[in-house]
Amino acid sequence: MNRAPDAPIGVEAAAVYCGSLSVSARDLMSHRGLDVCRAHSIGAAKRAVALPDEDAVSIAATCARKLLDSLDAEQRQSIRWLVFATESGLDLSKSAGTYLWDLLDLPAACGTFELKQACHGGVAALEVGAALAAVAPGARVLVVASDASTALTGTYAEPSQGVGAVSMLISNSPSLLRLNCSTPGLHSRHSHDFFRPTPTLDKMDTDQSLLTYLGCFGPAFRDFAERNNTTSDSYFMDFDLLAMHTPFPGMVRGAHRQAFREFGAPLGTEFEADFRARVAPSLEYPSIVGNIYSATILLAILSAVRNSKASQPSRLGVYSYGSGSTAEFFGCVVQEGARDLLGPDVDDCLSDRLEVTPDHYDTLSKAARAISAGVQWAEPELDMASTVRQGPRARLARIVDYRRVYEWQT
Amino acid sequence: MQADDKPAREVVEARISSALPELTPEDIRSSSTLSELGLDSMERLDIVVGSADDLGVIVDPRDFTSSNTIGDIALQLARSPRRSGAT
Repeated sequence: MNRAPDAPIGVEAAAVYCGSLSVSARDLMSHRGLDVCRAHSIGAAKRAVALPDEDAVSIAATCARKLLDSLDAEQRQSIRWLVFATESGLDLSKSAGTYLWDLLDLPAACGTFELKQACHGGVAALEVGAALAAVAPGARVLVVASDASTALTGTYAEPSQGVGAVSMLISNSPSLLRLNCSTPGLHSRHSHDFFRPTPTLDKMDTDQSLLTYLGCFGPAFRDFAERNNTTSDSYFMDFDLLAMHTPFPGMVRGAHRQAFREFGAPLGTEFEADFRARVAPSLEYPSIVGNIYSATILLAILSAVRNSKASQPSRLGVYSYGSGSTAEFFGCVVQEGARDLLGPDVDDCLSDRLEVTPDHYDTLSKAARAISAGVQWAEPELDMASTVRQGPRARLARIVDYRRVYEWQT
Repeated sequence: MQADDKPAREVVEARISSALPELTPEDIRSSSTLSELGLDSMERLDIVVGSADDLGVIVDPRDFTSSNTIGDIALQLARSPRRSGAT
């Protein structure tokens, strides 16, 4: 071993790109003739929307480039692995990571692979990235989670889904987030709650999905508590902040309520106040982006980081869930100053998006299907909103006999 | 062996009545789904999880789908294993 087991490993830097456009969840519900009163229960304010020339790879590239542009040549050379988590993969054999590796001009001595376990993919990639960084002193691992939902047109899930990517640089200088602080708790069970049998078809049983998410939460946390020699009180006592996979913010509220019910909150712990103080900070970004699948939990983590105290480390508990299903609970530490290090870039990236009408969103959803996995030929048009984003943006220029050709728009 | 689902049905109906006080007992038919009664996904979740808590049973999510009727839900709850320590 080159490194003591407890040497810090974690997130050195992070970036977010959730498209250049958004649509109001309420406007979309109204447009579909859905009961707008349910918007409060769902808890989503906006849904991120992709341009006609953006897929999971181009979105990932736009996101990761923000991180890479801040590195010097030596730091770029230290990136030994690119781990790409997605459930919007473009090919059954060729990893989406190979496209991304090329777009980002990463070193030849950098490996890449694609990783999938529904919405748990982002955390799985983070942990694989941490393990790879731990065995190669001085090395960095670029972890990118990127997904684009299908439209789920006309359902109550539609307003709360989105598109987006989160990228994180993993190293032994975890300025943002230290990962290796506890033994994770795990729980798996077989389920068909959500799956994507073809590139444009999401099969979902809402009730089964919510019950499975919730049903895995308690066992995963109890496994965490047992393996870290603690009790269920740990949920209330040991974490300053909590971030959970956020299919929609209302689900996270339900999970926290389940914790009160299942673990028995200590006397004096009041649900609403506890939810506002420890959980709500993680929902700020997801509520204006929507569910971005493998990247959602990473977005929730960054939302918690951005709302953490600047002057001291914060203990963050993370619940990750991926349909099918696997769940995990782990603890990590938001480093002192992480909030400022993450900076206003993420806030600006999300607030600078152009809001489109539901009619425009419908046009864009149709365009997204024209470049989905399995399409042999395509040449996506530049949408009138393509120029809204400041800074470099990766775009799919064409598909030629299944081969995707990307380019940078600066 | 056929599980006696009457206690489970009463618990589920009580939960529905609490969530939708404007409904009469006649409105809550065994053949209706929770969606048909106008409950959203989180309210449906609360009814299933709350009923399971009231009955002291552990639910298997695979037995509960969006197309389940109230009768289906009561039957599945009646068949669910009891939590350790539940009376």
